Amino acid sequence: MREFWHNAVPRQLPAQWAQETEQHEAIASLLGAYVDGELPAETMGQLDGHFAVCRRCSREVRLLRALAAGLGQTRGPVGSAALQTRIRQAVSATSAPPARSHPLRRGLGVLTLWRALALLTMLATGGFITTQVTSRRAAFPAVSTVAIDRDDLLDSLSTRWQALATQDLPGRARDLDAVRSALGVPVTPLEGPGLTLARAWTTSVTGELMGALAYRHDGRLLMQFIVPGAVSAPTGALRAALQVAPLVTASSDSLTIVVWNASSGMHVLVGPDSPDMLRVLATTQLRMNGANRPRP
Amino acid sequence: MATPTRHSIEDRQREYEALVLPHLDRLLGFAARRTATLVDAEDAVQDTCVRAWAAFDQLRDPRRVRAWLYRILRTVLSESVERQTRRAQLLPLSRLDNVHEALVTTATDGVFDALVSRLDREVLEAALQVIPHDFATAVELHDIEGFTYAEIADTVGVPIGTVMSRMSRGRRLLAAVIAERAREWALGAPAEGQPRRIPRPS
Repeated sequence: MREFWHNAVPRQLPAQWAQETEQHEAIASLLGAYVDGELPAETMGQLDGHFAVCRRCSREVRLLRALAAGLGQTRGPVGSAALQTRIRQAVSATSAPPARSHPLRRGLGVLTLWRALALLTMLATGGFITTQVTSRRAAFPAVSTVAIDRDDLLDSLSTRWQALATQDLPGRARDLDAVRSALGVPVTPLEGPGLTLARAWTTSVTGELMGALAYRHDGRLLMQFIVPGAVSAPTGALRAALQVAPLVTASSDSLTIVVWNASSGMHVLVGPDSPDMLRVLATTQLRMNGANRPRP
Repeated sequence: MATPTRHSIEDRQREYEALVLPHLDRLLGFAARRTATLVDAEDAVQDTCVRAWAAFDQLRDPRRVRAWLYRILRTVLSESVERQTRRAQLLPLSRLDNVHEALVTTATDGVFDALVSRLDREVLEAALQVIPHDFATAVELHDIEGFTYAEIADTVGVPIGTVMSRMSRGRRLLAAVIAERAREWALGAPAEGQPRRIPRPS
């Protein structure tokens, strides 16, 4: 560095050198804008005059132009057709209308007042999942269903739904292939009228790795949790119920939960829809993929 | 707030796609330079597009859609990947300023000319990963993405004077990083057949 200073100020008085240094510092701050043509014409002309007598600044301009030219050659990756499709699907699944603008309004759109009151009531009474014996209606597919009381895993998944409903869905939106790869099992999204897959990711609930598929159903959030290879994992009432019926339901004041086993593992569907609606969705998938009855 | 009809939502979605999708590649390139993998970059771009759709009514002037999208993308990146993957080490900026000054004031042209002749895309992309984020962003938005200073100010949310300053400083730092690492990256005068050793961003 000493050599540089020696070369930079040959045969100059300190005062003269300091003045020129100060001038260069002021000019140097404009050189980028000069190269980019962002300065007024008058200033550009003044700088042109300076460059004619200043090797330092003319070099700097050369350097800046070379940098800009090099950077201009930079080309990033091209967005694949698959990415465009993913984005279109994700946008379509975002059923909130484009006029959703204010954060408060957005929050209220997700957590409606009645839902908030129901949540407060549930928390106050301490009873989260209550028994509800469901009766099949004539129009409902003939798949036997049993209802159960409390279950720790289902409590946790209900709590997870409540958390997801009050915030943006996890930001790192993975596609289904990533979830399939992480779980190591086939994952087929639910299908139904008005039902759109919004996001898919992996998560952990009570220490279990599971897939999480978020759907929009007429503006409501519907969550499907998939516990891979968990055919025999449930305990207590849930396990017993799955051994006597393909579908198990539980519900609270505002949430319905439907559980079934399939070849890919245990599926838990949680949402504010009616029990009938969730059972239709579950039954459709059960019939498409075939139920995997639990091992004794 | 009136609930839009299905027809009006479809119209809006068509308008959205016509405005947003042409910028997909550029957004992906910007994200890819800030994330560890292309998958992360695609995730960030997808998040950006979904957020852009959700806030589409806030885009008052369609001519400013590009700056608006980059502003959302920067938010998405700042919330997650970028902080974890980029510029973990602190740079001695004052020393780099000295390196740059030495480069443009050196008594002979040889070193300067050699460096300028080797400023290609690969070298510059590696150097961009090293300099501080604010400077790199300004330089990238201008030199790679083609933004004007006013658009950068709009995107980044700083006065135009700050953009001007960041551009100058950022380019100076780029040159200094390249000059300082010329030997490490085998930029000087490589022996016959000697490959470059420019590190890929982690």
